[in-house]
Amino acid sequence: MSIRKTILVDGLPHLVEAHGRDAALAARVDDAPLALALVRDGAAWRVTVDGRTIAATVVRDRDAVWVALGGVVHRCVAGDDTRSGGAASGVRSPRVTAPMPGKVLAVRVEVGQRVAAGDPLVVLEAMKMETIVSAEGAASVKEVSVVAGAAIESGQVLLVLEFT
Amino acid sequence: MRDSTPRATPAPPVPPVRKVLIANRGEIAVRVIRTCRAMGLPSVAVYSEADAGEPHARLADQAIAIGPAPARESYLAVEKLLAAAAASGADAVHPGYGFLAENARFAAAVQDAGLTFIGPPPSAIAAMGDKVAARALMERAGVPVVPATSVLAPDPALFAAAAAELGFPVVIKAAAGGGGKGMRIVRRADELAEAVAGAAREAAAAFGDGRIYLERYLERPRHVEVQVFADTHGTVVHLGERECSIQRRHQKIVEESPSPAVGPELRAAMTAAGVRAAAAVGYVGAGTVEFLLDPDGRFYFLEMNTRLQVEHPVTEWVTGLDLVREQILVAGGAPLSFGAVAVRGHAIECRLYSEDPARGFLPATGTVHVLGEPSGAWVRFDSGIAAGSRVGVDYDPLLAKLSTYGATREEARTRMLAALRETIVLGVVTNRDYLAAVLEHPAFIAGATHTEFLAEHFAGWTAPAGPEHGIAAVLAALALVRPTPRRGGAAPLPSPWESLGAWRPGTVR
Repeated sequence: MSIRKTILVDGLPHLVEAHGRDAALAARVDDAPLALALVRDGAAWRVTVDGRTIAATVVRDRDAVWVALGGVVHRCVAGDDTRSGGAASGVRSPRVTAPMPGKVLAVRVEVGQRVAAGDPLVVLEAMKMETIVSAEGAASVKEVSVVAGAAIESGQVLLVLEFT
Repeated sequence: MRDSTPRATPAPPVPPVRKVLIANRGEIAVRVIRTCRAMGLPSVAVYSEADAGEPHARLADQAIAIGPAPARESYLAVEKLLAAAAASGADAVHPGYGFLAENARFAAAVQDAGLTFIGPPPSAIAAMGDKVAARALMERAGVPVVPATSVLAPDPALFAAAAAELGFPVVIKAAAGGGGKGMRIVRRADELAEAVAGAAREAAAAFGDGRIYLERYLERPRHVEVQVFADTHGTVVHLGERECSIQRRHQKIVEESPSPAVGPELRAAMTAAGVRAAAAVGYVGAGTVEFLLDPDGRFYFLEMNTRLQVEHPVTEWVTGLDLVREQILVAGGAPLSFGAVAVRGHAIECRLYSEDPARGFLPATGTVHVLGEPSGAWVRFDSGIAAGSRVGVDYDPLLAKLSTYGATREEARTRMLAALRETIVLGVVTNRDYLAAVLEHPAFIAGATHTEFLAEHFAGWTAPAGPEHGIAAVLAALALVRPTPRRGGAAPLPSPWESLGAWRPGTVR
């Protein structure tokens, strides 16, 4: 088995490379070597690193892999997963996505409209709280993908901008 | 802590409560059901389609389906709740908090159906529910209030004129408000238009009443509130204060009692004002009078919450009372069962929310795959979730409340840190690590809290990366590439305790 993947751990990207079997894995995380051995029993994993064995709980669902380790729960997603919401990327995306699941209360812009950084684009509601999705930079609105009243999933494209 | 206020007319005799329908869900429904159990009273839960099989529906003696997930069609549907009460033979309704708890029409409808409403009289709810009328009433009762306008049409020009008079910063509030909904702080005139529209819309959505008004915004006040309790025999008492200054989106996340900022003289003044406020509206049952405490030591009436408060456990810790039990007894016409109550020790509560503090507290959804519940001496976990619970978008993101008690504040604080570390939720992003960071902050340790605490100390907070991140990344990569082998069918999910690791003093991370 050989893996090379970017994994976002709590939003922070790590490049993971790993070769070998569970019993003897040679891994590199962000180019730092990490030798580990693991035993999996359902969601209960035992990980041996540097002669120290620790217990981890690992559950995968359709959104993420949840890893409890050392008393802390980490939400891990593949780096190319759009549902991560681009929290850590810091890259302006022309595709404006929903940061949370919920409902569209209002669309504040039209196709062709020019917007400035911070201008409200779409008003969302979830769990009775309003969230305003704003433009990350000066742009023109290329496409509007949702209408007021629509139910949306986290990561769903709300509209597409063209940065100017 | 007793102050008797004679009433003009004696209350009519009320029969004792025999069977309680809980018109709510989640942790507060579970909490009320537990007290019913302890009192030997049968309980009836109601649940929406989204909540079938959730803890509150399983724990009650009886559970009745009341409709689809949207609250408007279930937990806010008065006729369905009354039908459930009739079908189950319940003779009393406990509203919890949120939903219909502060809806005077609901309280009246419950009474008109011949049932006991476990809460204040509809007239008291109405008097305090209209925030503008309540302010005027409080001024007449000699309770200090913050300068504000009456209800204004949602016209930016009217608000601009009023703001110029009051002086920035100002805060737009919903006349029917509470819980921070429909509330906007405005620091500059050019922010008014968007804020007025947003506040009116949010108020209409949350309360079915879009009326808003403008108030002077106090900078860096503390939020200190007084727990009051009244019976139908004219007795109104207070049960000390709670400090609730640690807020995000104007909602509290950490509360404690007593307040580190309140000494004996201030306490006497604030609690007396709280009792006057309750007496002025003929209050009955458990209520909370909220004050803003200015750094200069002056305090102002904010609002009265005519219900059981989310953070009532800290008062229960320091008084030794079960406030839901007292609510039920008082609703059944009994005089208050307690006399002068002495506050002992210190209690802290943390609210566990399904939200991501590193992304602007965005609500998070998902399924709780694994749940580790904290326990131990002087630790209480009021939870509305269990392994398998689905956390959806329809309701408030409060998952559970963790509270701890200690002889001193520091003892309660360190106990809380240990208990937070035992609180493990896999499957939904929570604010657990954020809460722990708050409790470890030097300003919190010093008791130097105010309502801007989080904005000042925790802006841009992200969970600190530790050496475990690398290992977690590898394990996640493996889990993504190769499905976990299962032994003989579906392997049971493990207890999360194993993955707690060794305790590192003074830190959760």
